[in-house]
Amino acid sequence: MSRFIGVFRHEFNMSLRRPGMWIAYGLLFLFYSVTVMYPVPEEKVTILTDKQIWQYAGQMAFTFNLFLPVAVGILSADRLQRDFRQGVRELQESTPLNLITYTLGKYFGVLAASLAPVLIWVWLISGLFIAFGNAPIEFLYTMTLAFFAIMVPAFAFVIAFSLACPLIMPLRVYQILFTGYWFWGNYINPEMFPTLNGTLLTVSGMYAYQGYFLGFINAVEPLTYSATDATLNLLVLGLCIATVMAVLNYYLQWQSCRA
Amino acid sequence: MKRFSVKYTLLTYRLDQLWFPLAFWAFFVILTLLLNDQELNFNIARAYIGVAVPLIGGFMAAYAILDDPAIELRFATPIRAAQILFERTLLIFLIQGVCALAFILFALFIGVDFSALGDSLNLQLSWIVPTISMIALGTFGAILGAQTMIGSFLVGLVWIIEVIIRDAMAVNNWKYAYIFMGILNPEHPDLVSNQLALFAASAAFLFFTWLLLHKQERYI
Repeated sequence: MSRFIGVFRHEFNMSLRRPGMWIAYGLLFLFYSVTVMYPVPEEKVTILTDKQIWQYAGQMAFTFNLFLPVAVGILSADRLQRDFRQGVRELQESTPLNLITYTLGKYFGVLAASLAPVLIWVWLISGLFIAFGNAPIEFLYTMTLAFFAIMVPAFAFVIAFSLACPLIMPLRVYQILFTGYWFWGNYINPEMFPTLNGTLLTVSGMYAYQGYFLGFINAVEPLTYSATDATLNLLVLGLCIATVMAVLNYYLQWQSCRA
Repeated sequence: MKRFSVKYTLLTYRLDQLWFPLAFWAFFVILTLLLNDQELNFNIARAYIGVAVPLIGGFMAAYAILDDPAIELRFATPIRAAQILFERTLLIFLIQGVCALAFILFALFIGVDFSALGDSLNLQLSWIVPTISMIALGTFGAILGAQTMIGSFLVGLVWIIEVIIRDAMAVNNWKYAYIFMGILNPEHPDLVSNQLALFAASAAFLFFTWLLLHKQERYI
């Protein structure tokens, strides 16, 4: 356990110290803060009711999921590969560090470092929203739940693939494929073009948004997904993450046997 | 010295800059042949030349200069910054250009009608403008942050934002920064201003990249 904490802490600190991550988050936080805090001129300032705070929290988390996971996926793509490129992996193999401990420590370290600034920012935005009198204090609670139900699964999913895939393909190739996938697999209408969107492999958070947070506030059409669908979606995503991490572990094992 | 530099570029050329665009091209060709629908064929063709090609170009450009294991040796030789910038980005643009033109020829061969994009000049500008913009952005981001990752995420972020909120981009003042106007909104009244603005922005990005490339110690 102490080794896992060591790898986790090291990776967390390393990831947090990357200027690239802060530039990416800075730009996106600015963009989102402006769009959330300053409504368009003709839009009336609304005070959210009890039901609406669930819907609005879901809506905000779903909107944040449009772009934040793209930045996270691109930036975390070199976290494991750089250990190989810079020869650190050979040094690590000479230590009694277990391969599973290393993989999990690395994964959770990157995940925590990617999520921590977002969670703080989400609390800050929610706090400002409450302070301006747009929502009751419970909004902080629903927003935190939306963060864990909508944003955490998406981040966990993209980081698992971003750690594993660049080991078998060039980094830039993965980044191109990942950026294209994010749009194709989550936001293309399935009636227009074959896509993963609308299947249980959808990562955008639409299932949780509709199933747990009841969808858009002014939506006219009935909801497509229920809470059961949302739970199934989260289970399928969890299974995908576990499979990717297991394959990654076997791949690293095979690599060290070959060396 | 110049000949040496070109030879060096060819010798150290990363093959994924060649096989990946070709593989992507082949994928879109196969997809078009499989779906075989007149309306879809046009949408796939414009998605490839005007949306996918700029994305690939942008990411490749982010790695073009700094992803060189012998960058310190290269900076130790008297090669001018403009020459490094020119030979690295031009090669990427040429490969993307060949892919885009080959796809247009293929699409014309199977009967895709590009008249919705305007005349042949507008058809060519619809992929040239976004591709140059993304290449300039990727190069500038990587050199500004002295990391390939920063160029990559800038390209990825701008691409995904502009693709997802494309309708909003076309109706407000952001229309001048809307990279995909030529391919997705070819009838827009401000298309020419948009293309001029994007060319100017690309030129500015490349100019600042050139200035920053003089400070070689930043990248070692």
